[in-house]
Amino acid sequence: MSKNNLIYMIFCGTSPYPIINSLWASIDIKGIKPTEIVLLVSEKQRGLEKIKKCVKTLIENTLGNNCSVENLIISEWDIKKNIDQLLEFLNKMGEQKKELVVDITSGRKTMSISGVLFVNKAISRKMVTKENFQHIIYWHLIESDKYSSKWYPEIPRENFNFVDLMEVIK
Amino acid sequence: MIISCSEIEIILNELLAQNNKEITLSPFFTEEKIFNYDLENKKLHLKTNQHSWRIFIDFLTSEYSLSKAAKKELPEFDDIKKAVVSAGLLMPEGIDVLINEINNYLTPIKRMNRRKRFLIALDTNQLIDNLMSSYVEKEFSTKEKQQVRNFISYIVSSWVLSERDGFMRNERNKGIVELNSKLQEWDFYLPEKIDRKARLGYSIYSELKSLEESYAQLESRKQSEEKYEIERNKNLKDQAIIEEYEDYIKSLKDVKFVYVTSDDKSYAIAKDHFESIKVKVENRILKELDCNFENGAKLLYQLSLFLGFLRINSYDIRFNIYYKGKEHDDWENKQLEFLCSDKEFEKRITKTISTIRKLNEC
Repeated sequence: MSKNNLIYMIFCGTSPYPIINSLWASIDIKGIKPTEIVLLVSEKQRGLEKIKKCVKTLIENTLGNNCSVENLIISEWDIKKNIDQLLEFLNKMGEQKKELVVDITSGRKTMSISGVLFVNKAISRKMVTKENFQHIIYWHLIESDKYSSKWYPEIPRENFNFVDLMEVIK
Repeated sequence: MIISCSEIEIILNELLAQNNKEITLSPFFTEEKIFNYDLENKKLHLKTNQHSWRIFIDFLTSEYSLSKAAKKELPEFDDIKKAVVSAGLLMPEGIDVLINEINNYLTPIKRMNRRKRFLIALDTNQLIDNLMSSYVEKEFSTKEKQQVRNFISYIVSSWVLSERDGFMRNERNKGIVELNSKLQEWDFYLPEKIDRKARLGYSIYSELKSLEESYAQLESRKQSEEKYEIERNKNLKDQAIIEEYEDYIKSLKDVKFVYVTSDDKSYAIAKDHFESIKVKVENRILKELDCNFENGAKLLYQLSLFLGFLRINSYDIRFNIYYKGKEHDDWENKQLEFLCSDKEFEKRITKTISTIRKLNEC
């Protein structure tokens, strides 16, 4: 599978910082180069335009490639509904399945849980292989009060952990 | 690339990320070391002392055949100590008293009269050497104490600002002209020592101003003839600073006012008029200091100002004083020029800082 075909799905909360920082760390630490970013936002999402603008700015300045940024509305609490919706999203890709990364750093806990269960279900139903799902990312920030409004390169490296849940599932 | 003081933190982060666990801070292009900075454990190790610094200055003097006047313009060991204190790494005696006073007066916040304020009045040395604000700001930066921080203000007398302005020199003395010309091969520019003092005052003043509503500058009520007399006499100026603060206190209610000074004379006059704290910097710098990147960035900035430029051994990084003009505004935003002989690393830093600036504009 071509590395040029990578979808990065991000569960979004209201602040752009964890979204950008997690994505930036994925690019910097894991060398992930998305070709398509899907922002998974709740129906009550605030500040989506700002988040989109920040994501585009980061991609243009770090990868410089033509990466599209889309958004998909999901439920803030209904885990089952979210899993079904995401499986349908995956199904629509059909034969042309791509490599996927799911980022659960931001958003409500119920949204993050949806993300992990979705990956698990997709693999168990053999809709995709484990190789398709490359990473489930959780960017863990220590001293979050101090660094909640700082960008990734401004935060000392010992103040965050880059967790890949896929390593646990595999 | 022109960077701000806080952007130095990004460079320190990147150095560590690139596996540079320890860096050396050096003055000019010499073998002399000021500090080794253990980036991994956030420790600063002092590599010079009064004696070896004097030998180093003597070496420079003889190597470049510097006159007495030019030698006088070279940085002293005391400047390193000032940079350490100003960066928040070595709390001067008296600041602990100030912090206790603030805590006692402003807590517990829930039962507090909302109009209550704690005012910290500065003398000229406080403004130039910045002996205090790093420690006060750090103490009240935690989540639990942030509320208290909103009730603290810094007050600056108009005479303090006038004294600072009096240090500015746009004409160059013979010593600095000689020094800059003989050290030309290092491609740097050092302003006069007294002028550097004024510029430091400006950079700290802009930092205090950036604390928004917690800063106030007093206006002088003196007539021009009297003003002229005061400006020419140090003793009258000390008196005028105290009178101005005393007048100001009369117009206030529900405040605790504390004057902070490191000057013996000024303290002797002030303590009979209002509550005053004498700040004293220790004579020695500890061999090992805890230094997170926030303090590290401040230290690198301060050292660059005192030395003209500062060198980091890894990737041959250099920070130059950014001095584009002779106006005080040019110094207000704590800027430095960042240069690096490793073009790959320089490119990475430039790209990272530009991306952050663009993200901040979103």
